[in-house]
Amino acid sequence: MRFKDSLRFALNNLTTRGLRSWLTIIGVVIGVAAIIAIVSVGQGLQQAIANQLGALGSDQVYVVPGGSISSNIMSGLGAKEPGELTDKDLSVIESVEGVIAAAPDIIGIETASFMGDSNKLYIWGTNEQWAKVREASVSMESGRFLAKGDRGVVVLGSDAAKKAFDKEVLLGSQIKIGNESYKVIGIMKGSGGLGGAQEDKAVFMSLEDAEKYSGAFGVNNYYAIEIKVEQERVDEIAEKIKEKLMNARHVTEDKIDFSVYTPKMILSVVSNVLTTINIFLYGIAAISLLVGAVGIANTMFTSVTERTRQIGILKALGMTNKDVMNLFLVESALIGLVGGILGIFFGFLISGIIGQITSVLLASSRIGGVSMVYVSPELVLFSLIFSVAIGIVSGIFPARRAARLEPVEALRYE
Amino acid sequence: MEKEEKNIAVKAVNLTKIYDLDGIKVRALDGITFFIPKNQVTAIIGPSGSGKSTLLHLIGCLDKPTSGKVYIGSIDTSKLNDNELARLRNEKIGFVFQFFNLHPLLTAVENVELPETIRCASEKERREKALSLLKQVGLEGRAFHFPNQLSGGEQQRVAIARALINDPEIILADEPTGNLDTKAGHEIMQLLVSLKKKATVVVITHDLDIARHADHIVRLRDGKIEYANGFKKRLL
Repeated sequence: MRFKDSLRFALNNLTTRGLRSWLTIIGVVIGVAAIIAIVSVGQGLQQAIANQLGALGSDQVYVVPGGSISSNIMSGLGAKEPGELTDKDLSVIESVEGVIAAAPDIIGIETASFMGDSNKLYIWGTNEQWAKVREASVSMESGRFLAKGDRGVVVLGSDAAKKAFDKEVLLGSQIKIGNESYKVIGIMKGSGGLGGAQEDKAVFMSLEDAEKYSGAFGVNNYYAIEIKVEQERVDEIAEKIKEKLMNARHVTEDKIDFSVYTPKMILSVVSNVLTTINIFLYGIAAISLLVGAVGIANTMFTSVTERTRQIGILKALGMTNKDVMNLFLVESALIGLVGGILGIFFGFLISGIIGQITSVLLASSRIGGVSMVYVSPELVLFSLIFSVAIGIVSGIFPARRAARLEPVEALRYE
Repeated sequence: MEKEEKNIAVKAVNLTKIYDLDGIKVRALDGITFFIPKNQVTAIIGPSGSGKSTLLHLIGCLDKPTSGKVYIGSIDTSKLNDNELARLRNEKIGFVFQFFNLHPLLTAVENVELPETIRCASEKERREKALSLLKQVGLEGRAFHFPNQLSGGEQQRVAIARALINDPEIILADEPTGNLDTKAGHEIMQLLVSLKKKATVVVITHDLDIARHADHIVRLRDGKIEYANGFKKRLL
């Protein structure tokens, strides 16, 4: 039998048993949609994080209060962990061999107003060393960065200047943060990461000015200390920093109340967490796809039984066992295909929605408000092929049964 | 003997079929030998359970004998595998069943085309052929109806057209009028008999009125031939 005719036969059968066919197809749709949604979120997330971290530079080391790296990454703003970072720690760090520059960070959020419009902005308190620490990845578009002793002045990130208010904030303007007025002495260039590094959305000011906007941190209680080190020896120097700080703070490894990490470490921790979550979610998606496959097999078995007489007629008229088998395989492959196409469509939809939600939820964290979803063409193609394959594989046993029916028996079947 | 061979459509030699029904062996056919002459109407008659249907299935290559051989023309069917038998059925044999056995999801013309579709014939060719055959059996107006929209007699005519589309050597009809009223049954028998110019017609029936139309009779009882090659004169 020609493929075209097999296809017609298959379509005929599927449309005759409309409701049953659709119920079977839905099984596949759910599995495929789940896979697409999960993979696209996973891929988008990894890309967003990689971009974010890429902007941070490979010669950076961070010290934050609190002993657990993962909890620091996940806690975002102001989680109070025991142990504070002070200017003493800053001095210790600066004394480590291989350290080029170190700057303290404190953060907060405050409403800023400019020319009649207002918006919430990140407040970033630091000192003149920050520009040196971030030399490799940050540059000024206009004006300058903070200098030693600066008070009452701010430097804006590119998004803070250009996108936060109706009107663009220009160099030299006055901007109101909370109840205080500041002069804009510098505007930074965009960091170039995919959709908004925190720096782009921030207002930089001295520690003394920033203190009032930061609930948890202060002039001598830092959110983090950023350090620029010799690039070739990042891990080694990070280790030295850790040792010296442990000594200075009189803590041992098991009682450590701060964390030292490099972007590489962050990435690997985040990757591990993501991978674990992803595996779990893939597992769920795989199970639902399995259920879909079982659904197809069930439908096809029932179909074979119901059409036993028909199969007998077809064989009597000269259809070979192989052709009968192909007939049923085409049908189950078709179920897989339709399920796959619809699954991809719904997968797109769901991942789009998730992207919107995460964008809103994560706007206030270290990652920033990023659309963390990415559907690659490879994913679509793979899902399509996979769903057809599932259709075929699920249909093999029923198709074989149909192929093996004895014509005489089949014709006698009521 | 050779001269006779040329006029023989089907030859059965020592044909036996034993069914195994849950441990009980049923001897449906018991070593029968006979032949069916070409281009004639042969009726295979006998009471219920005499083995008529079994014989038809073996002649039609729908089933294999437990022992013995069936020759379709000069072809020894015992030497053919399943695929070859399927091809044989498709090319040389046309079936007409008691319950019509049309595909319910196909229109009349699609049903008639079916043997050709299986053979991968071109769409245009098989459609033309099918429509022409439907015309011959008087159903050109019903070509695009579904079986459930046709009367019993009409469905059987579709079945006959289907049996003819591949220009078969043999037409096997299993109680073709069993499900029809007298009038329709009569029309169908007339149609079948008219086909003997093109093919060999074999009709299974328990109805002597139907057998009346045949040129040649094989009579079975309990899986054995009571007499074959008999003529209507002896029977009636």
